[in-house]
Amino acid sequence: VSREAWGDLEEIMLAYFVRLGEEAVLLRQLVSRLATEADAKDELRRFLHRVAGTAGTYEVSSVFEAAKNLERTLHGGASDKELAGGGSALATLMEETSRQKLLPA
Amino acid sequence: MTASGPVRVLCVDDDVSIRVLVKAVLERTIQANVEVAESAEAALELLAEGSPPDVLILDIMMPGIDGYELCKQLRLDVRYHRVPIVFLSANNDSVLSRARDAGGDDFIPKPFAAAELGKRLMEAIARRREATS
Repeated sequence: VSREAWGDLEEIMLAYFVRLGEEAVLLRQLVSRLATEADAKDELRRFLHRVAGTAGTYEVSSVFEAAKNLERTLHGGASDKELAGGGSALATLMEETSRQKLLPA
Repeated sequence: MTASGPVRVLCVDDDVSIRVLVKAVLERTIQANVEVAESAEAALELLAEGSPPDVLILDIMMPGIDGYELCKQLRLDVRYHRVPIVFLSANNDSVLSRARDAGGDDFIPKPFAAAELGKRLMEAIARRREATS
């Protein structure tokens, strides 16, 4: 397949990194609801599952691993405080990754 | 390509990043004609408007009707008895057996290798045609 044929995949990648930054904001909001809303934990589980799958597919291994680790922490019965800390760290990683990839070369 | 033209694919995934990547990859690797839907409900509406695709790609964990349930619903409709259904999911535990129980043909784990996707779909189409011919 020629390089030209794959050209717009780069645009798709950039769009993904924009969305990764937006998802970090959603993750922070979700984490802030953990202590007060009963369904927030289940929402976080689905969110982490989706973020991990997509990051892995786009070969962003740092976000993939961090999301999988937090997913395992959640399944292991972690406290809201632990999840909030892990979620906040993951959101920071997502924001930093997004910023780095979107910096002009 | 099939004997009657480009392979027609419907990809159902709630994540837009996956939908656009699957569409772009399949258009390039197997020159497929790819439609996308953001939910099972949207897929059912789309399918009601036209003829069945050559193959369906379903995410499993989606809000509302999940991929397993969508697959079961489609298999109840005679028009979808011969259409291969391939699951795409980040959840690797026991997915294949549940996918088969729901009437699915194959399971591709996320993350998936872009180059493998078209190959696996074509294999699913070939297997289903062989089994029903």
